[in-house]
Amino acid sequence: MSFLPTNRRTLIILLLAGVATGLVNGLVGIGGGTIVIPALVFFLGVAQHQAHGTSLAVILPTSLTSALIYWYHGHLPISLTFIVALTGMVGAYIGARLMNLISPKNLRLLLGLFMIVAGVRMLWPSS
Amino acid sequence: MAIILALIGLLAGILSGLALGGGTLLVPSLVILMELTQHQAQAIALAAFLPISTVAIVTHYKNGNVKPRLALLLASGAIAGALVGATLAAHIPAPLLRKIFGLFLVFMGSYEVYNHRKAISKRKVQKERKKE
Repeated sequence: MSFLPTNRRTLIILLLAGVATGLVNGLVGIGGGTIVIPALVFFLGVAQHQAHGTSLAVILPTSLTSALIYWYHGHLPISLTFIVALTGMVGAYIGARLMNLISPKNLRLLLGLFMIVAGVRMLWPSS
Repeated sequence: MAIILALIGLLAGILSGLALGGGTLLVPSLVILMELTQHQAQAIALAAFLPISTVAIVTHYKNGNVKPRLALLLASGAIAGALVGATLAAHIPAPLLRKIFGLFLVFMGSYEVYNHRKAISKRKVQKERKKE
């Protein structure tokens, strides 16, 4: 089959990275790119921007699968999702435009700090 | 409440447009500010990602930045993983799932901060080399 990569190592890395991505995506609902992008860049030598584009194409069907299971178990509030999706699309358009104006490097640090604070807050028992 | 939700959605959208990942802001905001359950917040993040990312994927694909073969192979493993991961999440009580998410967030946040610092020290080394 010419479609499959001839290299067995590549195939194994792709499948393992895929399964790990799916497990994380299904369990915590976010962060698939954290696994796919490094796997593509460091293990397979794919260029950063191609890794980013490819990771999105992987996470779409993955998130769809996870979302369907959450929905099946009655955890998906449809109307709230609708609001977030709509405003999120507007925001994504703004964000993509901003990309040419600002460097996201320092924003990335800010987001990292926010994640630590929010993460610690969530480890606390909810009052 | 709808206004707060719209603002959260807008901010998360901007972050994902900047390729920083919107879910890291979305899920904690929904849980802490909107007082949704951990499962609901994660479900919203997953479902809202679908239309938001579709536009981005089309753009990346047109620019030749999607590798279809790699994507297909990764996705086949990822879908199988998602079936297991999401089913597992459905059987975990919300307070525990919240803690798992929190731990994951702290871990990812630390990784971001570490990467940022590493990038800074790399730039310093490059500058010093130029001086020499």
